[in-house]
Formats: sequence, structure tokens, C-alpha cells
Amino acid sequence: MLTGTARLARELSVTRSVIKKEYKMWRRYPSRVLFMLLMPFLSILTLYFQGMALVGGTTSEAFAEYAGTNDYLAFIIIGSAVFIFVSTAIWGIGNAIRREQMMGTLESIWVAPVSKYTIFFGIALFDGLFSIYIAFMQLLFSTIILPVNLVKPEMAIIVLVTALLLFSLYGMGFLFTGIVLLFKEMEDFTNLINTTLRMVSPVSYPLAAMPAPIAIVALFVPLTYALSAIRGYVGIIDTASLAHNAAILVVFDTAFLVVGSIVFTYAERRARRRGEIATH
Amino acid sequence: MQNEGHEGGERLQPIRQTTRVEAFTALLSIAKHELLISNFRYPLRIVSRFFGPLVWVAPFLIFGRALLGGADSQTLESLTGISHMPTFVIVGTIVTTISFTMLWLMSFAIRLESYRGTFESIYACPVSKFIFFMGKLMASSIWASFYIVGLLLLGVLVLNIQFVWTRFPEMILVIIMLFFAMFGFGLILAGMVLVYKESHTLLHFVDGLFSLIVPMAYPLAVLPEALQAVSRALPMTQAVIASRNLVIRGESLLVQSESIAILLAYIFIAIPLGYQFYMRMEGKAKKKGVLHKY
Repeated sequence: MLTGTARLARELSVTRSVIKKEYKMWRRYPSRVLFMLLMPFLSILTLYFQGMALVGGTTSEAFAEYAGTNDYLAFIIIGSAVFIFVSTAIWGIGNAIRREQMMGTLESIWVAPVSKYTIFFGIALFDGLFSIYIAFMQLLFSTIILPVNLVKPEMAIIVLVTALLLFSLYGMGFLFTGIVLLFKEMEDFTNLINTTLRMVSPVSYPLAAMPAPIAIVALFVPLTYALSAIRGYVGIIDTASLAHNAAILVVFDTAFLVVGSIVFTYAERRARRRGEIATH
Repeated sequence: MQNEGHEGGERLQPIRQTTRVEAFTALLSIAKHELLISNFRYPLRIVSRFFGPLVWVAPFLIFGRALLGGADSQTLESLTGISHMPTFVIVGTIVTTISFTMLWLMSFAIRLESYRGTFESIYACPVSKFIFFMGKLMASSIWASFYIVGLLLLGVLVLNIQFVWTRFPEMILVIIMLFFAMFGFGLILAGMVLVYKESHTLLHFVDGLFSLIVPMAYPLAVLPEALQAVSRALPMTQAVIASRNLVIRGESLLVQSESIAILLAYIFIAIPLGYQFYMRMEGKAKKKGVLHKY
């Protein structure tokens, strides 16, 4: 029987190996990194051009009435930077099982004498670090190319708030992994979930501008509170205190982790019983 | 062709050319497979197909509303002569959704068979690849017609879009031309996907780039000049421009000569070029032994 310290050392060693493996995978496909760097910026540019076509500049008085700021460009750039964490988590942890299935390495990982949760934790940690890099690059690109300046020390709050958000995403990752085990074919569905989450969260537009049914859904998405906390802290909008939003995020973290774990455990048992772990 | 060296001198039957009826049957089977079997095998895909276009267009509409506080824009009117933002966006979305659906389906036509484990069976069938791709084209056109109906319902019932409906049949004609124009594009991408490993990444990037430069939610005039020039050369841009002129401004198809000329050029030049490119890439993939790999 291992002591507590020895068990912790073993789990940390597994986490380190998972991070190393994920890093090697990204290095093996540099085009994927380039894609991750460019894609969020392309979506910012798309909205920027739409804004120019509708209001002829980067400010809007109507937007100020909904959001509390007329600077819609800064609003969407911060939203997009934070959404990178969500997107990476959904594609990363949510598709981890599917990826291993496709590569033919799932069975080896499944029979390894380590906790699945430690493996997922390693993936989540790597995704978190990778997202920090991508989000920073977005702020940098935007500051260089567009008429905004968002490379400021207070933007480090993004890292702190998303660290709280990460546990919800981790729970969401369990949930999607369970869905992959149950339904296979994840590519299209992940894409839909990713786009839907962006649609129902105040990433590119404020909560007040959403139609009522979408705004109600947004209230149950943790990203809404993370964005509110960050935008409020950097002075773009007036919102509830950072501590208030952080407390709400902790509640979401707990709920998503519990629900995600239950779905994942159920799906894994079902897949094992039916002999479907490695099939796709 | 005859097999001379067969034991006992018995000759194998020569491989005969498939008849037109057989080719058409194969085409229908491929379309049916793509539409029904491959989708119903994976129920999550059906969900994605139905809700995809809605979640694609909604952010542009909500963002537009947040900026305008309503539906009309004076800036948009001064740039295009059209002030109603939702009408402008819905037409752009109908055309681009169709284009992107087709690009995905066509370019993954072969690669998907590798994933599904049906690649070898399909490859061994005595049916030309052109028929195979036409079957995929037929499937994507049926999906696209669902999208058109869905987006139009959204526009009419929720967004109060202002169409000149008498010009709608002409817009459908433009969309049919776009289908064939995009066929060549799809063949080129299908060829690239055969030899390029990270094909999802490539296609997502192409998708993102086209979303930026095709005037879906904004007019060409707001893009930098270099991007405008690239965009004007694309069939989906011409289809968006022509469709807006038809159903929003009420112009006749006869005065959309630039758009029609570019679409026809794609139909008559890009399809043969795309097919040649695809066959060359297939030969390259065979030589490298990566045809069935992903």
C-alpha cells in the first residue's frame, strides 16, 4: 500500500508524462498551432468588419446602452481571448478519448494502472497553459493590427479568473468524454457545442442584447460570470464585484465536476460492458 | 482486357464499361448512403446538421442588433443601398452555409470512407470517381435545400426579412450555378486532403478564411482592397452579391453579368482542372502508400 506522499508523487509523475505527450503531439503538427493562433483572430476580424459596415467605427452608442461601454471592439477581443480557454477545453479534454480511439492508443491508456482522472487533469493542465499562450497572442495581434490597446498588466486577471473557470471546463470535459463513449462520432457535435456556447455567452455581445430565451440560457453558463468578472475588473463595464462573480464560479465548478463525473462513470461502465471502448 | 495466363486456358470475362443506368444507380446509392445511412448511424450528427446553420447565423444577428439597437443601419445603406441588417445577413448566410457544407462534404468524401472502414470496398467498385463525387454533390444539395428552407423560415417568421419574392426563382438558379462552381473547388480540396495529414485543420482554416473574406455579414467595401480583389474572384462572393441584388434590390438576373460570368468560368474551368488535380493527388497518395491512411 502506497503512502499519501508516494501516491501524490505517482500522480504528479503521470500528470507530467501526459503534459509531455500532449506537447509532443502539438509539436508533431505545427500547422495545428498556427491554426489555433489564427482562427480566433479571424473571428475577431469578422466582427470588426461587420461593426465597420453597420456603425462605421469601433464605438456604438446603442452598444453602450446594452453593455455599459461604447467600445465594442475591446469588448469582443476580451470575450474572444477568454473563449479560447473554453474552446481548447472542449476540443481537448472532450475529444481526448476520441483522439486516442482514432490513433489506436486508447486500449493501452485504459489498461494503464493510473487514474483516468489524473490523465484528464494532465490534459486540462496542458490545455490551460496552451490557452494562456494563445490568448496572450490574440491580445498582442489585436493591439498591433486593430485600434485598441489591450496588452496591459491588469489583463493578467484573465489567467486568475479562467483558473477558476477551468474546473467547470474540466467537469464539462468529463461530460463530453462520456458523450463520446456513448455516441461516438464527435467532430460535428463538438463543433456545434463550441459554436452554441459562443452564441449563448456574452462573448461578442452583452447579455442585455440577447433575445430572452438565449439570455436565460446564458445565466447557466459559467463563462458569463467569468467574462463579467474580467470586463468589470479591467474597467470596461460596471458589474458585480470580482468576489461575487468568483463565488458563483466556485458553485458552477462544483456542479459541473459532479455532473460530469457521474456521466463519465456511467458511460465508461456501459462501454466496457458492451465492449465498445475502442470502437468508433 | 483479357487474362491470358489463366489456368486451363479459361478466359476471364473482359471488364465491361458500366452503362449510364448503372452509373446513375451508383450515383443514387452514394447519395442515399451519405444522406441516410452515414447520418442515422451517428445520431449526434443529425442534431448538428439541424442546429448548425441556426447557431452559425445567430451571433451575427445578435451582434448587429447590439450595435444598432434595432435592425436598420444608415452606414450599411450608404454602402450598399440596403438598410435592413437581418435581410442583408440572411441572404449572405444562405449562400455561405451552402458553400461551406458542400466544401466539407466534398473534401472529406474520400477521407471519411477511411474513417468508416468502407474505403477499400468503395475503391474497388467499378464506378468512376467522378460519379462518386457527383453522388456526394447530390447529397450536399439535398442537405442545402433543408438549410435554405430553415433559414428562410427563420427570416420570415422571426426577423421580418424584406425580400422581392418574384426574384426568388432567379436566386435559386444562382445557387444551382454555385453548386457546380463549388464542385471544382471541392475536388481540389479532396485531392489535398488525400495527401495532407492534418486535413481537419486545413479545412477549418479554409472555412475561417472564407468566412472572413466572403461578404456574408458585411459588404465587400469594408474589406481592405487586396482582400476585396481575392474575394471578388471567389464563386461564393459572386453568388452572395448576385443573390442580394436579386432578392433585396429586385434587380434582374440579366444584369448580374459579372457574377454569372465568374460562376460559369468556375463551372467550365474549375471542374476539369479540379478533377485532374484530384486524380494527380490520388496517384501521388498511391505512390506514397498513404491512400487509405489518416
